[in-house]
Amino acid sequence: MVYSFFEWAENTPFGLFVRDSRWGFAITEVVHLFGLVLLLGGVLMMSMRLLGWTMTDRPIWELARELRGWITLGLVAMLASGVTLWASEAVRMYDLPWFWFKMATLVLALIFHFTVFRKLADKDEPRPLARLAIACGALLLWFGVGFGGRAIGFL
Amino acid sequence: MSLFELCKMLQESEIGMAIHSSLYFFPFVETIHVLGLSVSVGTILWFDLRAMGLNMRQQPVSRVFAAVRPWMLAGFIAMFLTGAIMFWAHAALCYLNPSFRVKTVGLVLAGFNALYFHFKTQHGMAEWDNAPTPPLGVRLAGLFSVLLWGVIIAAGRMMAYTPVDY
Repeated sequence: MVYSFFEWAENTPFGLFVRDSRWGFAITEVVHLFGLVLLLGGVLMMSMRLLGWTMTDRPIWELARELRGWITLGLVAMLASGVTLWASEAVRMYDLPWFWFKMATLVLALIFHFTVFRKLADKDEPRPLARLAIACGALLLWFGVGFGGRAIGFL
Repeated sequence: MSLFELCKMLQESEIGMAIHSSLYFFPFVETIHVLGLSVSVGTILWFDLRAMGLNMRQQPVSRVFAAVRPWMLAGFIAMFLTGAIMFWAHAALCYLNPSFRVKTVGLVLAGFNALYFHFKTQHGMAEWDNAPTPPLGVRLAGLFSVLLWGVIIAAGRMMAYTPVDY
């Protein structure tokens, strides 16, 4: 059933258009990279602040509020371009272990982001141990997604 | 010796061939190069947005710069090193690739933009350090930086899709 869904996606006019156009795939990849800069760059800045390595003279919630919109923009760009890339070669993806690794990590990263990361980062000053755990969790999960994405292209 | 011959010599050198044909080393280097985007461009972006008056408007420009500087420098050093390793293995191909030329011009311009900001624009910093919206020159420096890094990233990705006669 999952396989037929993947097959269907690749044969939608949208999937076919991206697959067969000269620059469709390449341009979507560029959007994916722009999203990466915003999302991973934003998560990195927040994590550095949580670890106490930067901007320590300002409260955490203040930076969280400043970065939130940009991080969300990056996330939306990544998801939209990611679905587009997937739709253009869904059938190939189905057989790739690294694709499923990336999707599993992505689900975990999204859950972590919208529950733990946002809630705790909004609090004034979480305890040092909690801050360490949030920062390391966010970095590991999101860079894990990125690593999985790169592995899809190589393996 | 022409520039092209030099590139060809690099590419065909023992080290160049070894990088090119390595099973894991090249993908490893490229992964660092791609994920390193978040540490290099991903951090300079916050300074650029502050310079444009679009983000962290309550914080002095100098403080945002001090906060991102170490990460930005480390990120760009990692990008430069991994980029140089990948170039070594494909120097002649890069030389002939139009997208690589666009990327190179973008990098040079981004460098000039940063230097001009550092040596010229930054001099009057005390006057606008706390301004939520800095003067036009500062905002333009931020805008040029964002645009140029956008072009550099796009051209870098396009290298893989640009046909080269070699």
